[in-house]
Order: sequence, then structure tokens, then C-alpha cells
Amino acid sequence: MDTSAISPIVSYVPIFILIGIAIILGLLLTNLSRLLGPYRPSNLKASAYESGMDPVGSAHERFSVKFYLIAMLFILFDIEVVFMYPWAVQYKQLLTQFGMFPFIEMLVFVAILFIGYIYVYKKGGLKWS
Amino acid sequence: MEFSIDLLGQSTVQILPILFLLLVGLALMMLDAFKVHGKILPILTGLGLIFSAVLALAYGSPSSQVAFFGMLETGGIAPLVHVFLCASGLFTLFFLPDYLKRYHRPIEDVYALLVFAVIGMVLMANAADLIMTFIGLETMSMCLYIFAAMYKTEERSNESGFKYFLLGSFASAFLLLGISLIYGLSGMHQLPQAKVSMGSLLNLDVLANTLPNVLEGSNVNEIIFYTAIGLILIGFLFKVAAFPFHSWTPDVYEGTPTPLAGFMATGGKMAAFIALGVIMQKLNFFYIENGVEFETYPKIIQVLAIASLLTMIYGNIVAARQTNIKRMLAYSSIAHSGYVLLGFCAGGDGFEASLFYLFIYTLMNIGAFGMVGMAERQYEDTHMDHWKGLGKKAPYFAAAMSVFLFSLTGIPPLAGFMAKYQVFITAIRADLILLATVGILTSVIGAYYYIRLIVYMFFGEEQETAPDLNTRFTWMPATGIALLVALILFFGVLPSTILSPIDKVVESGLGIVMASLGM
Amino acid sequence: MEATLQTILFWVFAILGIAGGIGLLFNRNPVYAALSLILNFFSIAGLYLSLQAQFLSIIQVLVYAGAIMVLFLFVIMLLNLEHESGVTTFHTRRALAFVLGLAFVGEMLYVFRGLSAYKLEGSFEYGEVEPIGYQLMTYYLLPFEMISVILLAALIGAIIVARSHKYI
Repeated sequence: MDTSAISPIVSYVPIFILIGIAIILGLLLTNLSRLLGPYRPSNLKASAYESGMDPVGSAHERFSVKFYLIAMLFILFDIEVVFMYPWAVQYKQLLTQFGMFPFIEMLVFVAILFIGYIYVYKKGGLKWS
Repeated sequence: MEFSIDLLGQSTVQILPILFLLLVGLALMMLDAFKVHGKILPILTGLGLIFSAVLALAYGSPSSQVAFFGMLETGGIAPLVHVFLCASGLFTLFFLPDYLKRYHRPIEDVYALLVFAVIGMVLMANAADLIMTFIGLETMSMCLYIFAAMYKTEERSNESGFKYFLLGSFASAFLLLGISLIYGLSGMHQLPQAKVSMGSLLNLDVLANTLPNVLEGSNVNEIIFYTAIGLILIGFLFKVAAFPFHSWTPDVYEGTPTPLAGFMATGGKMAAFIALGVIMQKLNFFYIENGVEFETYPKIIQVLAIASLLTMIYGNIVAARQTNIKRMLAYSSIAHSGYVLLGFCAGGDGFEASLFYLFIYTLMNIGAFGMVGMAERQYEDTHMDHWKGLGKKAPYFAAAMSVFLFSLTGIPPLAGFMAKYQVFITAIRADLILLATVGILTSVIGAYYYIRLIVYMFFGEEQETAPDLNTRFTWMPATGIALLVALILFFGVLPSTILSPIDKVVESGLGIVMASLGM
Repeated sequence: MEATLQTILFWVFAILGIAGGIGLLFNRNPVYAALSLILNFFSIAGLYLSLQAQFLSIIQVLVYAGAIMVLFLFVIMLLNLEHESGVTTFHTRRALAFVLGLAFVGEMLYVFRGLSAYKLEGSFEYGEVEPIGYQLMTYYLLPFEMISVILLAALIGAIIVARSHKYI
């Protein structure tokens, strides 16, 4: 089939349908109980249980900066994956054409970043105390 | 150039100096991670930089030679540029360890970053492909952003890091947009299928061949081309802190650890200037539009000439009003960018004069910034008043600082004079009388603020608060200062020792066009 | 049939993308604003797909909608921004931004007014993952390897800026 003239987006339609169903299902399940179940709020229900304390302030507490560091490191290694993806897709053809070289190329890339990983580990970037 | 494994091996040997630097950087990271601290890290960094420079000289060929399928230039001016950039890193190292030690938290990671920054600079300056230019620029900038933000508990460092990162990434985006437009143009006369099978379309030599055809007879393409060049110029003029894009400089240099600010102002600028110069030389071509022949170079130079003029005037005038030495040096570094741009505008020998200027500027400016770092009482305290009377308290310090300041001014036996002389003389030869006159006049303003500091040191009243500088003359900064002063004197007396190699490599490597411009 | 399906999908993604953008601008709660941005990112990924840039589309989801949004949400939680206080005062800067925005929209409309029927010719294989992988591993090998240096520098930067004082 000559797909060159039309955009490949058409072949992704099943995926879009799947995503659509997932979204609808998610919304449905979270809201179904509210629609179907009885909803009779009262002051007593909202108050703290027995001798429990009244809530103070909001539940939105500040996060520790540790989470932030983890997120940043995650992005860096995520970008590494971005470069692995086209390599992995093309690996077989490159292998037949150039032998072991594509493997070595990626090995060098990963080795350099592995040193970065050791560095982060030793520096306590992944410690949780 | 067809891809083959043999060529890959050959290219790997060609970039050995850079690979060696990479290994040094990785080794430094590991040593730091396993807590091997102390004097060994800076010494190892220095030896690595020296050895890499030696490798570059040994492996470089005088004629142009590209590695990795037209990505990186390894012949021509490349070895010399590599040596200059390594030198800029090396001289910074003389001042860095003591400076870091004096502040509460020595950050040993900085040495690996310094090496990575040098790698980025070399890649950018020696790039033969716009993709490589961008990757090099980003590598360099990433390291410099971190230098600016290093002391995270200091408010000024936070400000400088944040400012530099935001504005710098913005400038990079401009540059990238320009490169994308060029990419779009370069692929216009080719079928999409052809793009898949061939090498880079952004190679500068390939562009010099394809672009004239694209520009010929198409007004729209011409507009796109000059828009792209304008965007690329914005990106580079930001990195070198030229006039309309200079505003980050004083704040960022102020918040950066002082020796590293010197590194930023010299190595970073040199790399950006060389990359800009090479791109301009390579994209200098003729094309025919409606039967009239056009050349791209003179058009680009018109923009640069205005930037140069305004940069020289603005930098010098504002620097004269500063009372903080670091800010004064920052504004004066803006002014020096103007002089380098003046060399670019001259065309012909101008590129060589600019390269010479950049090298000499590196020597004197790293010295000046390094010594300001030595004299700081505490972080961010660099007011000129504290320098009053230093001539009596620390005569050697004041004398060495005076050499750097006199050289920055351009006083005859010193190298700074030869550098300025070369730039102005090429400008006059190219009939840029107005620009050269403004350059000379603004140098006089420069003399005012540089010499004012010398007067403060030798004739000012002694301050109680002045730090005891004699204890800060440990062997490392002392060696660095002695070396820099000696080099400044040496190149001031015998400039041809560095000028003639520059001339030789630029002529044989770049095949520079002797543009005679009527402006 | 396929052409109309393509048009429908374009409009779906375009409208979702704009809705995400508007949601980002007008939500007072920063978390909702960030979630609208995710919707916008996903729609743009869909639009990339319709422009035959498959690789870009995947990367858009993987990096932007994935990693970058995680960072955004972390920053929002970190700073503990709840509801931005409603700024209703009239600023000259705001007015200027509005005028400039309108001017930009007008400019875009003017530039693209004649391009509704513009159709790209030929096949666009180079947007697929395979050619990108091939080029990356052959001609662009040096830039590819050097990207690892940028990532390393960023890694060191993250550690310097965000680590606690204990591990130095």
C-alpha cells in the first residue's frame, strides 16, 4: 500500500480510540459513585473523630528539595533514553552494515553517562535521609 | 563524504586531543566522587590541559582537515585555537584553588566542569558544521551557567546564575532558529529522499556551495537567509556580550567566583568569536539577483560595524562610572568585545588581528580577574576603595596588577598595546576610519578607569580594612601571575612570535578572502 | 476517506491543543494549569504525527509530557503555590502584551492566509525513527557522543545546586 501520500496519523487511529476509551472509563469510574451513591453531608460527619484534633492548615505541604533533585536526574537519564530509542530501532540494519560498531558507539555513550551515575551515587544524590 | 568505518577510526585519531580532555574530565569526576581532594585535582586538570594542547599541536596539520564526516575541523586554525582555549583554562587554574579554599565551601566538582567547558569551547570554535557549533556552544554554556550559580547560598550568585541561564538559553534559541532556517534553505533544491541518504546539510562547506543557488533569483529565500544570519548573529553577540545584548554581563560576572568570571570573559568569548568568524568566512559567497552580483560578507559586516561602534562607546563610558572593580572589569570586557568586532569588520587580515587580540586579552584579563579574586575580603566585596594604598602594603601585588591594567589600557611595551595596534591598523587599512577613530578615542576613556585604579593603589590613603595580601601569595597564584606578566611583556616586545603562526594557519586553513570594503 | 479522517483528527488535536493553552492561561490553580499544559503537549504530539514527524511526536510525549511535566509539578509542589491571588488591576504592561499578542495573531493570519490548500509533495521518510537512528549513528556520531558531555555537565550542575550540605 502506498502510504507516502497520506499522513501516517491515520494508522494511529486505533491508538487514539484506545486513549479515548481510557479517558472516558477513567472519568466514568471516578464520577459514577458520586452520581449513584447517596450524598448527605452534615456537620457531624465533617468533624474530627472522637478526641481527634481539628485539622490545622492545608494538606498541601511543602515538598523536600530531595524530590526535586530526583526529578532533575530523572530528566537527564530520560534524555539518554531519547537517544537510545532511534538507535534500538535501527540497530539490526546497522549491525548488518557495519558489524559491531553501532554497539560500541552506544556503549561509549552509556559508559560516559554511567560515570555520571556513579558520580551522583557517590555524591549522595540518591540518598534519602 | 561517504560513511565508512575506516574514516571513523581516522577521525578518532584526529580528535585525540579532545578525547584526552574528555578522559581527564571523567577521571576528575571519579576522583571527586571518591573524595580524593586537595591539591591533586587542580594539578591533574592543569597537566591534562597542557598535554591536550601538546597533542593538538603534534597532531594538527597546517592545511584544513575535517574529522567525523565534516563535523569538526582539526587542521588549519584548529590546533592553535585548541592551544589558546586550553591556555585560558590553565591560567584560570592558577587562581582558582586558593579562591575556592578561602570561601566556606570548596566545590571540587568545578575542575571537571572547567575541563568540560574547554571541550565545549573547542568543539564550538573548531566546528565545521552548524550542528557541532550548537552542541559545543551548549556544552560550554551549561558549564558556565553552573559557574554563575555555584554559591547557592549567596543571593548574588543565585541572581547571576538565574539571569545567565534564562537569557543564555534564550540566546541559544535564537541561534538555533537561525540554524533551522539555514537548514530549510539548504535542503530546498533537493528531493526529500535525497536528504535521508546523505550526510549533514549544515556543513559550512556544503552550505557555501548550495546557498548561492538557493539565493539566486529568489527574493524570498534571500530574506530568509538574512533573517537566519541575523538570528545567528544575535546568538553569538549575546555570548560575546556585544552592545545590544550585553546587559547580563556585569550582574553575571559579579555573582560568579572571580577567577571563573575571568574564564567566562576570556575563553567563552574567544570560542564564540572564533566560531562567529569562521561561520562568516565560510558563508561568504557571491550570488546573482536580478542580474546584479551580491556578496554576503559586506552586508553582514554592516551590522557588525554598528554593533562594534556602539559596544566600544557604551562599554567604555559605563565602565568609567563604576566603583566596583568586578563590574568595572565586566563593562570593560564589553568594550573589548567591540575592539574584536572592529577587527572582524576590517575583513582580510582583520580576522587574524582579532584572533591575536583575543589571545592577548585572555592573558591580561585572566590575570586581572584572578588578582581581584585574591584581593577580595569576602564574597562579593570588590569595592575600589578597599584598594587604596595597596601599593605600600603589598607592593608586588600592586605592581603585577598594574602590569595587567596598563596592558588592558594599551600602553606601549606591553602586549595589550600590540593587540590594539594590530586591530586599529587593519581597520584603517580597510578604510574604516570612523570606527578606528572611535576605537582610539574610547581607548582613552579606558585609560581613565584603568589608571584610576593604579592611582588608587599607589597614591591613595591606606585602608585599615585592606586584606593582608602577602599571605595570599602562595606558590600557585604567584606562579600564574609571574607567568602571565612574563608572557605579556614577551608578546609586547616580540608580537611576531604569535602573530606569524596565526597568520600562517589562518591563511592556509581558512583560505580567507581578502575583502576590500568601501564603507 | 483517509483524507477526511485526517482532517477530523487535525481539528480534534488543534481544538484540544488550544483548549489546553487557554486552560493553562486561565486556571488560577497552578496544578490545574500544569495539567492543561499536559493536554496541550499531547495534542501537539498528535499534530506532529499528522505532519509525519513520528519521532518528534514520540519525544514530545516522552520528554515533555513525561519528564518536563514531572519537574513542573515538583516545582509547583515545592513552592507550595495554591491559588494565585487574583490580579485584576490594569497594568500598562499587560495591555501592551495584549496588543502585541493580537498583532502577532493578525500577522500569523496574514502570513498563512493563502496556505490553506498548500500540500507538501513527496514522501517524508525522514520524520520516521529509522532514518534518524541511521544518521545519528553514522554522520552525526560526534555530536551524538558529545551530547553525553552536556548531560554530564548538567548532572554535575544538578548535584552542585540541589544537593544538601551534608555530602560535600
